[in-house]
Amino acid sequence: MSNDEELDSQLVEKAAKLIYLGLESPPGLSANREFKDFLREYKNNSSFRNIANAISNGLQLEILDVDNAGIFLRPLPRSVFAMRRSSVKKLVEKGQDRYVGLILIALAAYYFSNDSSFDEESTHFTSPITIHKIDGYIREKCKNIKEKSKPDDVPAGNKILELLLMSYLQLPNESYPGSKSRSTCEYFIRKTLNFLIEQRLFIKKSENYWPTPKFRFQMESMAENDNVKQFLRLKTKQEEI
Amino acid sequence: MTSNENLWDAKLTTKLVSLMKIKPIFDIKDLIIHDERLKDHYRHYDPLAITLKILELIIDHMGFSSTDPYTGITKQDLFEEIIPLLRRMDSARNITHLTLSDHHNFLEVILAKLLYLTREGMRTTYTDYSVNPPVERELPFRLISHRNFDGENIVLVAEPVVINFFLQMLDIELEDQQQALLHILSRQIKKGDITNAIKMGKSNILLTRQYMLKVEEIINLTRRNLSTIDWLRECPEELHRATTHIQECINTQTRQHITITQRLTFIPEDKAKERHLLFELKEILRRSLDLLLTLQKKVNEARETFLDEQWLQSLFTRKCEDRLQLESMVFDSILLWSYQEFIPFFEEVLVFFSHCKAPAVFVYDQLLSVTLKWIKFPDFYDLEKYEVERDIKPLELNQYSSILRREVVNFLLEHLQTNGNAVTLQELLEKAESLDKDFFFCNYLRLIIQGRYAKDNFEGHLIEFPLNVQYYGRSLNTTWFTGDNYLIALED
Repeated sequence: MSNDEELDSQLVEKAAKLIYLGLESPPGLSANREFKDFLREYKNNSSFRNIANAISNGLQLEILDVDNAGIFLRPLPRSVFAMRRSSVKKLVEKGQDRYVGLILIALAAYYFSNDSSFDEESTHFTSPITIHKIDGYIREKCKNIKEKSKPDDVPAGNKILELLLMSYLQLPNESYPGSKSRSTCEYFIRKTLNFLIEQRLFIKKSENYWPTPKFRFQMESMAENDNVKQFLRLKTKQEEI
Repeated sequence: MTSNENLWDAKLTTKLVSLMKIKPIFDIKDLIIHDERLKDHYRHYDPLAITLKILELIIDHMGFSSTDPYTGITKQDLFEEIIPLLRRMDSARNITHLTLSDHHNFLEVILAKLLYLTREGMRTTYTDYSVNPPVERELPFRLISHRNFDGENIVLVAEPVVINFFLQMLDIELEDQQQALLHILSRQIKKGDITNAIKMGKSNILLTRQYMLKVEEIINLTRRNLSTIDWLRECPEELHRATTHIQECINTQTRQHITITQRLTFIPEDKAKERHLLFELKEILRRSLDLLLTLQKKVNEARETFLDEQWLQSLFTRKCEDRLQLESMVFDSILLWSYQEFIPFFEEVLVFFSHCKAPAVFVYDQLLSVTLKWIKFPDFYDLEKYEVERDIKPLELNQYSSILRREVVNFLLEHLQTNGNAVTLQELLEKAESLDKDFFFCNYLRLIIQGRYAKDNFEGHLIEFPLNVQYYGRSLNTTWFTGDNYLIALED
């Protein structure tokens, strides 16, 4: 946008409203007439798009996608919109995040195991998941890695017990007699999925949990995120040393 | 009530019979498992594939080619042509010890199975639901049979069932299917076979719908990601073909529609049933035409969509390269981390699992309304009402931390004891402000005083020292609060 171009205040307000709708994401947004109007404007009007992007940048947000399903925003790191560990107390208290975090990453890995899972043609993404299925997936992964990993990779003695995979494998099943309902893997998976439902990344129908388009955009953004990449790179370097 | 015809169409019975007829071909799939003799040697062969090849060879030799000496194929020729396939199956599993006679033995068994079915005349039963009550019928049929061709040569020939089965499996382009269907429809109209023409017209609508899905898919893919489809060559060709095809369909169907309309004008009034059928057909043709016109519009729009999206998406090219492999690179590695190592990573990625929501901001108006919900002061000017209204809700001070409470009470006591005389709430609040106390502190102080005036028992937050609070006019005016002022003193 050139400097001498006069700003259309109505257009700016519209663009800001679009960002606001992204933050609010009210139910039934796709049917919202006002949103449809914004969507058309966003697709066809380049100055509207520029204004919307400028507003989102100023608010420390990134527009991931705008389509019929809604507007998908992502907070930039350390912005006020970004959720921190301390803000999800009920998920992380008493070290529960070792399970919750593991399950979150497992869901991402289950749906987007590799690059091609982000393709438009991938049908895997549209399939539902059950608590039992995700538990089976994590357990199998843990067992495989435990068996396959070279002795050098896995620390010996007491240290091995500290690994995340060991803590997950030690979680009892609900079917196991005498196991407390608050410490089973089902409990943690249900808790995690409920959190994701609150965050509008999953929806629940009877026993099945279905990922929403938002989940796809978020995961794609995570896989492309430089900070996450950098973190993993540093971690591997540390291990090598 | 649904008529029998609607409940179970006779066409469905035909389909059921077709399925029953090809069932023996699928039964051969489990052949090896049951047969003791074949169990060990021929485990690596795929009997179903071999059967299909046998059937194809037999059909191919049934006079379709002018060079064939017979109508059918001799067993010798058949074996010769099929053995390369067996060799390929051998080499796929690195099996070298099987000889030509072994191959022959195996083929004999399969052929015997196919012919055995034939000799027995393979009988099976099915139930026809198109009549009421349903009737169980017997279905005799053959797959292949021996035929004495010229007194010397015995050839294998396929029965019509198998030939039909094979022809149906040919892939016919959607466009060609529709053209064929329209041709049949025209013939039926010409012959006056309106009942079947109606069925054909319905099938035609189905095909148009299918075609529409195909075009919609192109448009949707274009909208989603241009790079996944070939707009340079494939799509323009496809759309050009579609445009021509749709125009042809529209022309044919318009002609058919005119024919039916003309026929309707000439039909005598007394032939009610015929009239009714013609009307139905006319309606179907009209619906079909409507659908075709919509489709035509969509095809025309597809090109515009492409042009729009082309420059749009070039602006928003997504970076696709260098993505993390979430399973192998992320999940697998975190499983080998300890909890302490995991925490910082969790902090980093948590944002991707959360909904981007505006953080709640403190708004004074809101706090006031929330507070007023919990605390109810008597209306000073209406003491009578106060006397009647005894169900004053206790003040919910539980939501404030006990540290704050202790601080406020200490401040209050200290101030009252040093001062000796009574002080006003105004003075107390000003004092608090001068000591740089925050809003919450002042608010708590105010609530205690107002609550005590309302003779609230503070629900478990009883202040141990006796406090005398009196109304002191509406003179309170501080940075945060305005309204009723109180005179506070320690009781003797």
